[in-house]
Amino acid sequence: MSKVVVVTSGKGGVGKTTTSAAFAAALAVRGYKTVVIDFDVGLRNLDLVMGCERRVVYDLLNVIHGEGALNQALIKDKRVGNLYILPASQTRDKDALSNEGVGKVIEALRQSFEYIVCDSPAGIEKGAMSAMYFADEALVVTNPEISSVRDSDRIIGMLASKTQRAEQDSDPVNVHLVVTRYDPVRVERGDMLSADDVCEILAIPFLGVVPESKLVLAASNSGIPVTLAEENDASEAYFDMVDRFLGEDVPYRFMDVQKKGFFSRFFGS
Amino acid sequence: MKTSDTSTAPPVFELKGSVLTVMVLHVRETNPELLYPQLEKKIGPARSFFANAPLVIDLKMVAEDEQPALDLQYLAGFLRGLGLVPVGVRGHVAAIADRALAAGLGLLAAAPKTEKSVSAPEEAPPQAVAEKQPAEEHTADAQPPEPPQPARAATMVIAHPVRSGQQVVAPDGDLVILSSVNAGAEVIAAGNIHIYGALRGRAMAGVHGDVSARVFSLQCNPELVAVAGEYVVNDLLDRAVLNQSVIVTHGTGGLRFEVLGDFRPHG
Repeated sequence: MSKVVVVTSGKGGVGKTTTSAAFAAALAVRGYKTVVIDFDVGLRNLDLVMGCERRVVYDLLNVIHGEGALNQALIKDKRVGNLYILPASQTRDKDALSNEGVGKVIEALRQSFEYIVCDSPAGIEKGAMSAMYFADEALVVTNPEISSVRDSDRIIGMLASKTQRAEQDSDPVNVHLVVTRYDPVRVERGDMLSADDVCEILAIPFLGVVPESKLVLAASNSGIPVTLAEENDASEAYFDMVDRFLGEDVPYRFMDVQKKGFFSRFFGS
Repeated sequence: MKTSDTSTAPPVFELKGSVLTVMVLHVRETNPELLYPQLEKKIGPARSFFANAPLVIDLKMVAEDEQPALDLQYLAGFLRGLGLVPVGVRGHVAAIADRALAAGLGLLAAAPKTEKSVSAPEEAPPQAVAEKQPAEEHTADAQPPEPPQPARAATMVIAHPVRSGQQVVAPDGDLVILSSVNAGAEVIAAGNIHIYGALRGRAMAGVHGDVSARVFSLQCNPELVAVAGEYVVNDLLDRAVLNQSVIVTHGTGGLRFEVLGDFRPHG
């Protein structure tokens, strides 16, 4: 049974690609054969975050147009055995993404993968629509600020009406909320929306928060998915989310301000 | 460098059939001395309500031998003068088809069975709330002897949040939202709007001019709320009603907000 998971948000820069890479890598670490597809035609980034940009031969659109075979385009991750990347085209027009062509590729991937993670581009144009069209599950990546929340709201509405599941009137896409770049200190000060606020507005199941962390940027820049980098809060948060996604009951973390101990208050840290 | 042209010229139009709700003028009497004064009396005061509305002229109730007596050119012009846009005739005899075309009217097939009557705003629309308040109703004095049209419009119930970019319209009756209306969303009803959640988007009740319509919300923080054309944007909202459970009614000189209490919906 394979599942197509779209990582989407509406707004750009909220952490879709970081989340796609981290989530896919964590699924692979948990033992699931996983492929992550970059749908951001013309602005591809996933290969950079996954650290495979120098091994790209064929891409998603080559496969759709029959210019290369699917297994030629899939790039095997060097760190985790059952993780693969299908990069986007950097030179094509995003209008070349047809639902029909994407459907064939997804169908072929369903034969050999347990999870197919689709990294959606920002916006609500063609690329984002075709990334979500075949989804069974959706991760809606939201920053704790109102413009991101509103865009996510728009995307959730589209997941309920513009996907294959909606058009065929079958079970709706399972939508999950991922709040990224969360800073409990700023939430407490009142200059950032709380996870509760975001949950109340969007009213979808909550997968968890990813705390704001300098390591996320550092890992991205060195081409390592956060969940494969050295131990850090963001990585743990992503693993928690993956476990919740897989149905485990994991307590929520990183939502509150860390109380500093007596000694660390004196000695910094 | 390899360049590839993957785009084809997109089609610049689509031709599609569509089912529309449109107002129909059922003419019963061709005598111009009766017809035009009554039209003027009924539509004239509600000119803004009817402004630019497309209209179909139905002649089914006019006896076939009387139909040629009707000056379609004049009728169409008269209706245009009242701000309406007559688009076609139906229920007509073949003999006057040419005259209809000459008057700029399309020819439509005879009427189907199911239709609802459209009420002018000064007349109370057939809705539950209106029925509870007979004191505010006027009865149109020019009602012809035919039996009245069906009474009650169906209530539309939406069980999920109305999200940014979505619009829900209940064109005839009440609208019940069992969840929240988010910022960037729009809910519109001919009758009342009940929101069992937060109202953060736009809500417009009584859009056909029903001044007895109300907006109910458990948590009121709308971008805009309107009843029968009277509206308030968030900026002009009394801060005391913000995020409270409220009933919004159409009052003299603007909207009236009645605070019921404080409520925080669960997700």
